[in-house]
Amino acid sequence: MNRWIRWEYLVPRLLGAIVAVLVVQYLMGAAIRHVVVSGGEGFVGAKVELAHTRVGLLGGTIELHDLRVANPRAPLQNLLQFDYASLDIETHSLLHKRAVVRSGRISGLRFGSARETSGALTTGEGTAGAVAWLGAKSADQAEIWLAQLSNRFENDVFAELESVRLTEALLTRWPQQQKSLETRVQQLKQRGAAIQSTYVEAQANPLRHFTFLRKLPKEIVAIQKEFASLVSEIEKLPELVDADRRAIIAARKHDEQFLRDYFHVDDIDSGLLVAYFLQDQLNGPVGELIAWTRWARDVCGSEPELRHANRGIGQDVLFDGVEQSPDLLIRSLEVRGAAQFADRPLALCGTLRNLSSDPALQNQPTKIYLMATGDADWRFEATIDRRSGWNRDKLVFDAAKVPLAASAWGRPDQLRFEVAPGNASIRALLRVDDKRLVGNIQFAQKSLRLTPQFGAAMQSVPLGPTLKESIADIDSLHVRVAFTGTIDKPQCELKTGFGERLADAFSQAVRQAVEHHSAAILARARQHVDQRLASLERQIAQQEVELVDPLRASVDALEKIVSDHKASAELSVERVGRQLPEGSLFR
Amino acid sequence: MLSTVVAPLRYALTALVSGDSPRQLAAGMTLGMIVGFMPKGNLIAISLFVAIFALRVNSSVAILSATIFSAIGASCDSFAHKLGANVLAIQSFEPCYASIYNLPLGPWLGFNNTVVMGSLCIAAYLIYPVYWISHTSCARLQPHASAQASRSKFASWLLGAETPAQEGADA
Repeated sequence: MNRWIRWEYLVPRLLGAIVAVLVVQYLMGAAIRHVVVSGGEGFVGAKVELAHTRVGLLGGTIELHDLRVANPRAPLQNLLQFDYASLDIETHSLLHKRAVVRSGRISGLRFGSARETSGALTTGEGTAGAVAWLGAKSADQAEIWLAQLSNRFENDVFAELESVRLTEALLTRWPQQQKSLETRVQQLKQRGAAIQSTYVEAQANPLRHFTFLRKLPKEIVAIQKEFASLVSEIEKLPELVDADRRAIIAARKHDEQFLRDYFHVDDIDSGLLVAYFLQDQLNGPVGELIAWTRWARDVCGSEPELRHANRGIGQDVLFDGVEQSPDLLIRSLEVRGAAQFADRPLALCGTLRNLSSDPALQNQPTKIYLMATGDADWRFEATIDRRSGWNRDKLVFDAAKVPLAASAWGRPDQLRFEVAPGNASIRALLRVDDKRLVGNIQFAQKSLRLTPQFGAAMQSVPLGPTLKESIADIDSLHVRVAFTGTIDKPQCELKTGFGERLADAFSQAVRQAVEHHSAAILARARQHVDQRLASLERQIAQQEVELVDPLRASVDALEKIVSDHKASAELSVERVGRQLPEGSLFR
Repeated sequence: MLSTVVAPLRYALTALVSGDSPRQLAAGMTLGMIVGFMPKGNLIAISLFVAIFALRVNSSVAILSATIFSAIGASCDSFAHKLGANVLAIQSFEPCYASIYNLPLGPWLGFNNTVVMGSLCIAAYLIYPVYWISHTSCARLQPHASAQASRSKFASWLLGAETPAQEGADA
C-alpha cells in the first residue's frame, strides 16, 4: 500500500484540509452570529442576544441556539426568544452573495418573556399608540351627566317644598299672634282688676268715687265688648289654622310638580354611556394593536423601496439582465412555541413564508400564520405586501372562548361596573393600504354579569338597587371598534347595541329612583307638616283655655259689680246720710 | 508604535537586500499598487492580496507599495467614482458585466461598484509606468544598497537577525 500512496504528502494535506474546514466553520459561525446580532439589532431597534451558532458547511445548515430579541417598547421584556432554530440554506445562493433559507424550523418560541437586563439600545423612543376616538369627549359628557344626577340627589330640597315653607311660615307667625293675644288679655284683665279694686273703694266712700261709679256701667260694657271680641278672635284661631292647612294641602300638589321638575333628568345618550364604560377599557388593547402595527411597518419598511443603497464608498450599479433578489430570503420557516394570551398559556405552531430583507424584490408577499394547538381556538394571520408598487398589510386575528378575568368598567370615584369573569370571542381585521387604515375589531361576550358600584362622588344617588335590577337583563356584549384614518393618526369608532340597552336600563333606573326619592321626600314633608300643625292646634286649644277662662272669670266678676251697682243705682241723700259716721253733723 | 514607524523602512531595506531580482521587486511594487488603490471589501482585492504571496514577487515591496498607494487611493475616490461610473455605463459592455455578475462569486467581486471599477482602471493605467520606474530604480539601487546595508549599524539594527539568516538561506 505504502508503495502506491505517498502518505508523507497526503496526510499533512488532509489534516490541513480538515483543520481549514473546522476553522472556516468556526469563523463562519462567528460571522453569522455577528450578522444575526448586528442585523437583528438594526432591524428591531433593541438588543439581540444569541448564545451559540453552528454552521454545517457540507449540509448547508445553520443552527442558532437561544436567541433573545428584546422588546424595543418594553426593555425588560423580550419581544421573542427561541431555544433552537435550524435553517436549511441554499449553498449556491451564497456564491451569488445571497442567503436563501430554503426551509427552517424554530422550536421553543416564546413571546414577552422577562429579561434580567434592559434590552434598550436607545432611550426616549416613545411610540405609544395614541388612539383618537370619534366623539372623544363623550366619556367626559357622561361624567358630567352623572355628576349632575348626583347633585340632584345630594341637595336636600325638603326645605324648598311649598308645604313645608308654608308650615314654617305659619309656625313663625303664630308666636307673634299668640303674644299679641296674651298682651291684650293681660291688659283686659288688668283693667278688670283695676275696676274691681276701685269699685271696692267706691263702696266704702261713694261720694268720693261718685264720678267713677257714674261711669262704671259704661266702662264695664266696653270691657265686655272687648272681651267678646277677644274671645271671638281666639275662637276663630282654629279656623285660621284650618285655612292654612288647606293652603298647605294645596301646596302639596305644587310640591309634587316641583319635585318632578327638580328631578327631571334628560335620558342619557347611549353613545355617551358606551364611551364612559368602554373607551378606557379599549384604549389599552387598541392602542397597543395600533402601536405594534406601526412598529412592524417601521421594521418591515413602510415604503416599497429597494434597499440596494450605497453601503460603503461609491455606488453599486445594477445591470440590465441581472435578476435582482433580496440579500436574505427565508422561503419557509416552521414555528413551534408558546405564548401568553389573556393570562393563559397557549401552545403555538405556524409558518412564516417569504420573509426577506428586500420585500420589494419579491414576487410574493410575506405571510405569517400562527395558530394555537390543543383545545384553544386562536389564529393569527399577517400578510405584508411590499412588492413593487404595493404597500399593503393585512392582519387577521381570531380567537374564540377567550377566558376573561374579572374587571371593572367606568371610573372608580363615580360609577363603575364590576364585570364577572367570562368567555369572549375576539375577531380583528386590520388593513393598511399605503397609510390608510381600514378595519375593525369585534368583541363578543356572552354570560355577561354586571354589578354596579358607586364611588364617593355618587354615594348620595339611590340608584344602586334599581340599576342592578334594570341591568339584570343585559347578559351579553357585542362591541365593534371600527378603524378609519391613517396608521399615523388612526380614528376609532365604537359601535354597539349594548349602549342602547344600557341607556334604557339607566333611564328606567333613574326614573324609579326619582319616583322613590320624591315619594320619600313628600312623605317626610307630609309627616313633618302634620306633626307641626297638630302641635300648633294643641297649643291653640291650650291657649284658649289658658286665656279665655281666667278672662271670663274676670268679666263675670265685673258683671256682678254691674248688677250690684244697678241695685244700688238710685243714690238718696238719706242713704248717703246714713252712711255718714255716728255723730256726724249731716247724719 | 516604534514598529509602525520602522516597518516601512524595514520593508524597503529587506526588499533591497533580499537578493530578489529587479523584475520581482518591480512586480511586487506593481501588485502592491493595484491592491493599494482598490477598496478592500471585495473578492478582487482579496485575490490580489493572495496573489502577492502566491506569486514569485517580493512581498515586502508589495506590502510597502500597498500601504503607500492606499493613502493615495483614498484621496482619489471621487475621481475613481466618476471614472468607474462612466466605465460601468458603457452600454456595449453591459451584457458582459451582467454575465460576469451572474457567474458564481460574481457579486462578491464587487466590480459593479463605481469606486472599485474606477480604482481598477486607474491601477491598470498605472501598471506599466509603475513597473518600468520601479524596475529601472531597483536595477540601479539594489547593488549599492546591499553593500551599504551590510556596513551600516542602523541597517543591521533595522534588519535585526533576519539579514544573516536570509543571507545564510540564500547561500
